[in-house]
Formats: sequence, structure tokens, C-alpha cells
Amino acid sequence: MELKIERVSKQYHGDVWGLRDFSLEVRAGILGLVGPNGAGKSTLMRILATVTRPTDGMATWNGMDIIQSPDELRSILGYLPQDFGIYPNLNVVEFLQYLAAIKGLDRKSARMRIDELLQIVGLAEVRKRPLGHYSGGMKQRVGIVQALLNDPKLLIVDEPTSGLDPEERVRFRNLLSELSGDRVVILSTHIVSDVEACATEIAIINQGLLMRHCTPESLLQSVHGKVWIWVVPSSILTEIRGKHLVSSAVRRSDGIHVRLVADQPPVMDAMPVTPNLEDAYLYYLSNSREEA
Amino acid sequence: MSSVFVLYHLVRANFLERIRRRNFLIVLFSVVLLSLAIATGRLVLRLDVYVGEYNSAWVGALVAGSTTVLLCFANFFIVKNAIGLDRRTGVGELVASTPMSKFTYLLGKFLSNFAVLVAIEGILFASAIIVQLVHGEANIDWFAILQPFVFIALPAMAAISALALFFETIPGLRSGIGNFLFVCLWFYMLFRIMAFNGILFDLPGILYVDSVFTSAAEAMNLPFSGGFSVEGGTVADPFAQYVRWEGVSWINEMVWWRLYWFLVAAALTGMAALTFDRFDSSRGIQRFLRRKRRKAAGAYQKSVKTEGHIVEQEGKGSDQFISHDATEVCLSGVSKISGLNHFGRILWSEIRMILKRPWWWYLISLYLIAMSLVVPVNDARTFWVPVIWLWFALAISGIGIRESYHRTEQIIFSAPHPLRLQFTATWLAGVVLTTLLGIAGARLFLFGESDAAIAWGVAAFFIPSFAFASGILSGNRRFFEGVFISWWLIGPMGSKGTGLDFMGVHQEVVSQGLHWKYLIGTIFLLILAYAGRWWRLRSL
Repeated sequence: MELKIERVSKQYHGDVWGLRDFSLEVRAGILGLVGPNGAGKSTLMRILATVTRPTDGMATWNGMDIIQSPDELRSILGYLPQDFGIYPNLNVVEFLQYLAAIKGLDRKSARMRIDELLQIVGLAEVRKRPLGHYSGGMKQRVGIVQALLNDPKLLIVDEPTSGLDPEERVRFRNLLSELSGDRVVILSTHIVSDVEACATEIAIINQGLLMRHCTPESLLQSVHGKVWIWVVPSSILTEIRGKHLVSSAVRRSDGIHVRLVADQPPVMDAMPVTPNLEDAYLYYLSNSREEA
Repeated sequence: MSSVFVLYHLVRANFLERIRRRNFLIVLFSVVLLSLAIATGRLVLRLDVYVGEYNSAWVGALVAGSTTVLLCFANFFIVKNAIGLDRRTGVGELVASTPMSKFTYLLGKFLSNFAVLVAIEGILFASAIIVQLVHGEANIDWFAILQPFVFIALPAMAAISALALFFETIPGLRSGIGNFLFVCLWFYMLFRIMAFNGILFDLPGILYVDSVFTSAAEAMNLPFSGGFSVEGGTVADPFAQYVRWEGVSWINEMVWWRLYWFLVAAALTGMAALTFDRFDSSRGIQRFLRRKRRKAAGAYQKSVKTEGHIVEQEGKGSDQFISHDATEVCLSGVSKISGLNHFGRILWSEIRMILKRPWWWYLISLYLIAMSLVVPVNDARTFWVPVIWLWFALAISGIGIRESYHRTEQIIFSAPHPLRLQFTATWLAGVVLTTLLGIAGARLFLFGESDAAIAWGVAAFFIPSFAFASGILSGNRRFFEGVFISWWLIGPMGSKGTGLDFMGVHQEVVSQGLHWKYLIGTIFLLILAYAGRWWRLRSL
């Protein structure tokens, strides 16, 4: 099970590029795709989901060209777009039955699958309610269910936790981890904690370019010894933000505990701390901006 | 911030958003075609046998007069999406959370509608100048060209802008039924104008144009008793007498009747402010329906047995993932189908999707079908089947835009074979249901009227194909509804059999074998729809 992306580019109007010479290989597990807004994450997801075509380059699934033969991939694809709609006058079962038909599921297994998935995401009790009356979080869960409907081998989820409350987010991440055993899951988000919790690989993307592709452990290792806590009075916080890469600032009784990422300690009494993925992400993003 | 400033930005944003949309290009294209028809003399204005020389006064009257009559009707459908656009895009909720009053908002929307129509008139005004130049008349009298636009076109555009807005604020009039009512209203208006000189109904300015031409003819001592016509198809009429039309004083009592339409526009905008729900569907009629739905949902929830930890309370339990540990995922596998089975499943789903209607829709449909089956076959053919098909056409007017309208394109089109299977199944579902609803027409076979029966069969293919192609190409349902309803009234329901009778209602049309041309038209529409969907898939 292998998804290979080779020198894929996507040019929009004029000189606006969504992706440039993007190459990546993904195997079973969860790939966390992170990057700032406008980095090209959704463009990549849409290309892999066969919704849009790249300007250049090739993408293959187990050696099969998914750009030339998208229908081959579509039968084993689950896709949750970042922005999607529903049919407001249908209830959730009717909507999912319709999608199951389009995805080519047989009636009996579709019904069983829909029942199970609705139980898992907690929508079983509101199955008769028209989708137009669902809250934003409930609609997002409908999106999650439709993506899992055909037991996809390639699951692409674009900002899946947006609109979910913190508890729902945790449950969704757990669900994703459980499902990831024998399939490729691509999780796009700008919420680094979502990736930290469940990704087996991570890819940082910025301005349409792949900045880094590795395991979360090796990413963390690369910023080891570069994250510091510095206790400062609140009066100089703005100045520190201007000079250093600050990942967080927490107010305590002894002053503000500033967490920053730097190759060298900012001052002698700054304490080194264990880095987290957010520190590493900020570090690579900052470096890429400086190089640009 | 002053309310004028707020209003300016409201109008500006809405105006820019609408004229930058792809379907506005279709409008522009149609307007340019119309201008071209006038410039090349294919569309002429005649006063009995008289045709004016192409000086400024004549060209202004010709362009403004003829296009107002023709475009007034279409303009309603062009601008009837001012509030709908905000409702669909979610901008409406942002607006509703601001201190802006309902009246200010609607005034802004009215002005935006008006601005869009004035922009169209602006193109026609420019084309009027070109028409004059094309015909070798170099002396341009700007005022003479402009006057007919001000007195004929603008009042009509104002009233149409407000009427479209008013329709949008009434839930029942927002969609197909509203469009149908507008078409009926329009034809009733024309009837009043033609039959009774009903100046109170003269929105397109027909009586006004007639009045100024009559007085001008009198001034020129021409033997002319009134009446004018807009005719198409001829490049040069050998019997036409060309006269030099110098225009008349436009300031007469008829001008006041034209200004009356601005008052109508103001009144309609004011009424719209009363009926507008400010994007809160719990108001008015919607509140009543919602209460009923809540009652039904409550009754359902009471009847559901609670299982384990799952405790459902409206507005609480439904907003949470289930309370037991969701990480214990146990999902059964799925078995997939392919080929004809897959197609059959999609077709059945598409049929169910189209038939997802409220109970009263079924009630009316059953009544119409039953009537069509029990009346004599000729009555079924000439009245009941056409009525059923009009009824059903309004139900399927959105089949070409369902995915884009509800933003499900990415989900639906990432499923296997969106063109080969889904496109075909959607179209075929429309054909199957059109045939079944109009099944009374099949009785024609039993009565040996095979030509009429074939015409009926072709119509069953033509109607959903037209709806499907219109939706895909125009990106909205209003285009189909506007054209189809008017076509239906003039063609199948018209008193004489003409080439517009696509249902084969009139025997003389059937005898001419016109249905074969409609069959070719159906194939052409399908090709267009397919190309449109293919292009959409490529450009997502």
C-alpha cells in the first residue's frame, strides 16, 4: 500500500502556484500534513482525492496513475473536504444511503455500515432529523461518516476537527488511530496537537513546497536542545516576541514563562526544556521563511 | 458611520459580486446578441408600415422600447437572487448580526438589483450609439437617445428589481412556485394592457411607446392610427416606408404614469421589509413549520429506547460523540457492486432524491395523475399531462445544480465514475419520473395515435434534458424555470399550434413531425450538459 507523489505542481491563474515540484511517498499509517493557511495543503488533498488535476507531475497508488485513471482510486477512497455541504431536506440515513449508492456499496452492507458509523459518531439518535437542522459539529461528523462509508484504503481528511469541541476532537483522533492500521490516512490540519496525538509521519508544507517529511520523533529530535523557558517581566514580552521565536507565554506568579525556540539560549539563565511538535513546527516554518 | 456610507458599500459589494459571477456572462452575451440583432436590422420597430430612419431619437426609442418589452420579463429572473445569494453563502448571517436595519438592507438589495439592470441598460445605451453610427448617422444627439431609456426602461427596471426582492422575502415564492406566479402575473399584465389599455399594468411601457409614436405621427401628418410592433427576422422590408423621426416632447402626462412605477417599487421594497425574516428561519411561516418538526422530532426521541450510556436529549446528547469509549472501533466490512448493479443503485437513489418532497406535493401529484387517467384521452393530452409536466418540471429544475448549490461537489465527484454513472443516472431518473407522471399520454398508443404518442415520448425526454442542461450551464434553476414556464404557456398551452409546442399538444404540430426536431434538440441538450459537467469536473 503506497501512495507516491512525484514532482506535482498546480498553477492557478497567473503566477499563483498552489504546489510546486512536490514529491512525497506515503505508506500505511497516518501522515499529518501541517502548514500555515495557504500553504497548499488543501490543493494537495484535492489532487489526491482526484477532485482537481495537477498542472504537472504524477501521483500513483500502488503503481497506478491516479491522475490518468482516477476512477480506480475513487472506489477505495474516503475524502472529507475542508468545506462541504449537505442536502438539508434529507435525514442523515437518506444522505448516507445516497452516497453509499454512488460509491458502489451493496444495499445490505451499506445499511449495516451506516448504522455502525452513526453509533460511533453519536448521531444514531438523531437519524430522522433533517440535516438542515444539524449543528456545525454534527454536520462535520456526517462528513466523517461519509468518508468512512466505503471502508477506504486511502482516507483523506482535510481539517477534520474544525467545528468539533475539544472532547470530540480527542475522540475523533482516537478513532482515526484505530482505523489507521491497514490503510493510508492523510490528515491535513494546522492544529499541530492533532498531528502530535495520532500521526505516524509528518510533512511540513509551506508556500507549495515540502519543507520536511519525517517521523514525529525525528522532527522532535532535530529541535532537541533548542527550546527554552525564560522567566521575564511582562514589560519586556513584546520586545522578546520581536527578537525570538516564541511558541507560548504563560503568566505565573514569578513573571511570564516564555517558551521560545532558538539555537542558542537567549540568556544564561534560560532553562532548556523538552520540545514538543509545535516547537519543531514553528522552528521549521521560521527557517523556511528566512530562507525564502 | 453614516447610513449612506453603509448603503453604498452594501450596494457596491453586492453589485460587484453579481456581475463577476460566471452566469452574468451569459446575460451579457444575450444582451450583446440582442444589440446585434437591432444593429443589423433583424429586430425592427414598426409603426404600421412606417419605420424610422436611424437618427438619435429613433434609435433611442427603438433600442429602449423594444428591449424593455423583451428584457423586462427576463430581468426578473436575473435579479431574483439578491437575498438568496447571501442566504447561500452565509453572508446573510453576518449581516443579520450587525446593527443594520431590515429596511436599510433591503433598500441596499433593491438598489443593487437596480444597479445590475442599469448596467445592462448601459450596454444597450452604448449599443444604441453604435447602431446609429453603423447606419451612417454621425450626428449623435445624446439627450434624444437617453430620454427613452430614462422614461421607458428605468421605471420598469426599478419595479422589477423591487418585485424580485419582494418575492425573495416570501418563503413560498422564492423557488419554482414563485417563478410560476410571476409568469402568470406577467401574462395577465400583458392581457390587461392589450385588451383594456390598462395603464396601471403597463410595466414594460407599451402604451407609453404607443402614445409617443402616435403623437409624433400626428405631428408629421402621417395617416397612422396607433399601434406598433417589434418584429424580427427581416433584414429589409420592401413595403416599409421610412420616415424621419425627430422625436417628441417626452414630457406629457404619460411620463407621470412612468414615474408611477418608481412608487410601486418603493411600496414593494417597503412591503419586503415587513415580510423579510432577517435570515432567521424561525420567524413567520418557517417558525410554524419548525415547531411542527420539533414536535415530530420530540415524539420520535421519546419512542427511542436508550441503550447503555447513550442518553439522548435534544440539543445536548446529539451534540456529543457517544459517551462510551469510542476508541473501541468495530466496523464490519463492505461489499461492493459494479457494472449494471452499481448503475441501478445510483439510478434508484437519484429517483428517491428527486422524490424527496413534502406530503402535499404527493397529494397534488396523485390528484393530477388520477385526473389525467380518468378524463378522455384528448383532454389528458391537451391539458392534464402538460399541467403535470409543468408541475414536475418545477420539481426537477434543480437537478443540474444540486451538487454546486448544496456544496457537495467534492464529495459526490470524488466517487467512482461521476460522468459515466452519476451523470447518466441523474438524467435517466428525470426521464423515468417524467414518463411515469405523464403516463396518461401513453394512452395515445392504445387509441392508435402513434404520432401524438411519439411526440409525448419525445417530450418526456426533452423536459428533463432541458432542465439538466440549463442547470449545468447556467448554474442556477431560475433560467430553466423562467424559460420553461413561458415556453409552456406560449407553446403547448397557446391557442394555436406553433413550433414552440414541444409536447405535441396541437395536432397540426404533430402532423408536421415537429417532435423529431425536438428529439434532435434533446440530443443536443444532452451533449451540452455532458460537456458542461465534464468541464466542471476539470475545473473544480
